[in-house]
Amino acid sequence: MKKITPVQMVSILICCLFYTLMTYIPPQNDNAVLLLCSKLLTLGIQCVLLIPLIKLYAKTNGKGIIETAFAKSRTAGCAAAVIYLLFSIFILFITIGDFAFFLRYSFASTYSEWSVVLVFSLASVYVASMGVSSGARTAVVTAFITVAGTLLVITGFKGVIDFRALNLAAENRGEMLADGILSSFSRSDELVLLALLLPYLKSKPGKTVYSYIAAKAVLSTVIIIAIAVILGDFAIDTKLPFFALSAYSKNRIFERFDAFFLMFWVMCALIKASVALICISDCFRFLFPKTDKKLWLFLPAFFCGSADIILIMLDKWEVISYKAFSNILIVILVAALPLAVMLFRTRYTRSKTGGTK
Amino acid sequence: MKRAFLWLIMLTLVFVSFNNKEAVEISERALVHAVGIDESEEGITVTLQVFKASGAGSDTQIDPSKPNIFVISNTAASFDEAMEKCESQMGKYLFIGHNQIIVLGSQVSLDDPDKLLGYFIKNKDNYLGVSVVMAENTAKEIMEVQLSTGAVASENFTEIIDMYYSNGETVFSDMLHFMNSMKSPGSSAVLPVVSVKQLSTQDQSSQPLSGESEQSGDSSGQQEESSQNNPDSSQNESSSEAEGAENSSQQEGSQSSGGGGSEEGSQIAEQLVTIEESAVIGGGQLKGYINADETKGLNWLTDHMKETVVNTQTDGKQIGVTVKKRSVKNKLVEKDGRLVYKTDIDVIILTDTNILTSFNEDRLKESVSRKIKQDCEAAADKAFYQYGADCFNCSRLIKFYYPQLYLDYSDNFDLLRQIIDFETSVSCYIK
Repeated sequence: MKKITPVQMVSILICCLFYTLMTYIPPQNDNAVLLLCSKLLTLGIQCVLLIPLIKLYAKTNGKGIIETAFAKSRTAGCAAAVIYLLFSIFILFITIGDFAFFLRYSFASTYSEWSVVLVFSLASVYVASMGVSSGARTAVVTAFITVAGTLLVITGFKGVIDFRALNLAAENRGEMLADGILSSFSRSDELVLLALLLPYLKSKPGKTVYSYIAAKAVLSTVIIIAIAVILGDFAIDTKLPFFALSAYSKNRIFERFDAFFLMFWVMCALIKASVALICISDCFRFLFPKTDKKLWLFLPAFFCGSADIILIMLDKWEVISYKAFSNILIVILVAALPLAVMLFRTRYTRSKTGGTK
Repeated sequence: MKRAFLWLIMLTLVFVSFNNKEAVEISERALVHAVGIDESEEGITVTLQVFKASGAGSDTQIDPSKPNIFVISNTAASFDEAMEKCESQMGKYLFIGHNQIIVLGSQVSLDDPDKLLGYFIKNKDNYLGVSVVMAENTAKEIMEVQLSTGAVASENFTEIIDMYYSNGETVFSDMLHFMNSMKSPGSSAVLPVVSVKQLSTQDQSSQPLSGESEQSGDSSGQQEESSQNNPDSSQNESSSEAEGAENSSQQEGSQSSGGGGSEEGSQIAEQLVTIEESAVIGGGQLKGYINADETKGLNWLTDHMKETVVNTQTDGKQIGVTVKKRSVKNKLVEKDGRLVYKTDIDVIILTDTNILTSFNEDRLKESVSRKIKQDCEAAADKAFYQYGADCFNCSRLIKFYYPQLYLDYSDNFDLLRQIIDFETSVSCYIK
């Protein structure tokens, strides 16, 4: 199995983060300062929740959660594999659906939804079939350019930028803070992908994880403050504040960055979808070891894509808030399950070398 | 396997593209460069400046021979309907991604800016930084001034506005800023007022224009094209009344550009676009106007001033000095149960040794400081107290410094406005 470096892992996660950030729709009564505080509090909580995952990696010398659970018993392994499999399929379903929906809505795409889903799914399957290391190398370039582009956008505003646009004038601050934390958790599905991708990591899981958390804190803070300070109350009127911000930015070389970000948003979506497919095929590999890996790449893409097309064409995509209950599942998959597996007495966890000779 | 995949993706893309019937070609689009909105009893009149590809555009202001825009206008019950009429008459899809400016007529109702500019907010192609200005009379009059310089016809328009803003003579106003100002408690905003002046090159006198703009050809033999002779006669100006009766005429001409010089011996009546005052909007209504000095005061108080010329009297002599902003700090402090909008302005007086030797340095600084302070006080008195408009973002400062106070009075901001005082201090440095 080809391993990836910590930088590549962080880049994959940053691409997943950008995909979510770029399509974030703020609620009507959102307050930027409270949103920022809830975001930072969430990240603080996630720092604690990810400790079992890091400890498990160290204890088992890089074996994953599912492999360690299988070492305990086939039942435990299958249960763990099925839970992670279902959530990974859910992530793929949301990723493909959001991509098709927002592409059609935001960029006046003249292509039909089924064609967008079909091409995107095929491309995701192709990238996933190349292995995680290929996608990781692409993710490094994509993440770097997207971060650089974001910084360039922020420098392209005329007029006075007044940080006093950030304020605490909100009713029910405690309630808003709590809602913000729950909402932030529900948008952190990349942590589940991290949990499944950790066996691919070469070394330094702790540094990798906390580097990503730090990068997430910085990027989220910068983007939230930029949207609040520059767009102001208008951020609530727009469907996609990040793209509205990039469309408003102008400097001597570029005018409007939304087309630029469209390209990198597509790349981020592709990386997220392909990583989700890799995680799905890994889960299937544990459940059905003798079947062909390619089958498990095509089938989930086909079923998720079909479900997405049906929902989008029936205008049902925004009716159900698919992410409303995912916050609890994320906590379970990222913290509770790894902790439980770590407490199992298996040949991996008993041995000081993690089961290696 | 890899090649099979690549071929599969490529063929899928080709098939999907081939089958795509919804694609809009560039030749099917009408590129709108400027939008004018007027309101009357008949409804909303929309006047568009649309790019005309057959005209090459002019490289200089003195050569109006190659106009590259035409003007189309329609009246309907709503803005969206009027735009739809323009689209139908041109037979092309309107593209507002290149729109440079939105001109609002002085009669336009501003009580619901979301509805007024909803077309732009909903449209994904719209640029949020498009300039929003008010016309002295009607927006249609401004749209008919053809500033045919450069590749984009209305490029000069925004350059004029930017120059006035750089010199501190008008306020900063783009669509984002305007919408956010109108969303604040009190629905207040300040807009530059654009007016058209006619400069006759023969008598070198400037006359204000009222009513329709004049069009004439120059002595170089250029002829004004009439609507009857124009091959693009499918573009018509029409107004539709409630009964549906329509009259149409097209305006397209070799119009000289505004703001520039003219050929010697020419009989062209050039048109100038000027900004001499600013409109104050409060409570969703046009309250009145502030003059150039008051606009400068407003810019000082809101930290939008970069550099300007200050006219003052020192030692009995009238003098104009260039003044550059060094720093402006404003904050809201509580004092004796009232809120004080405290502004500290530091400026640098740019001058040369001739002026310094003619005037006493300290008296010069004092007179400049006094003039700036006067302008600030005049702006506050007129815009804030007389017109009752919160043009100084006091609501935002209250939200920042005293959030609970803001929440308690958010539904009745007028009560808070009555306890706000202005205190300005100016410090000058000579460079």
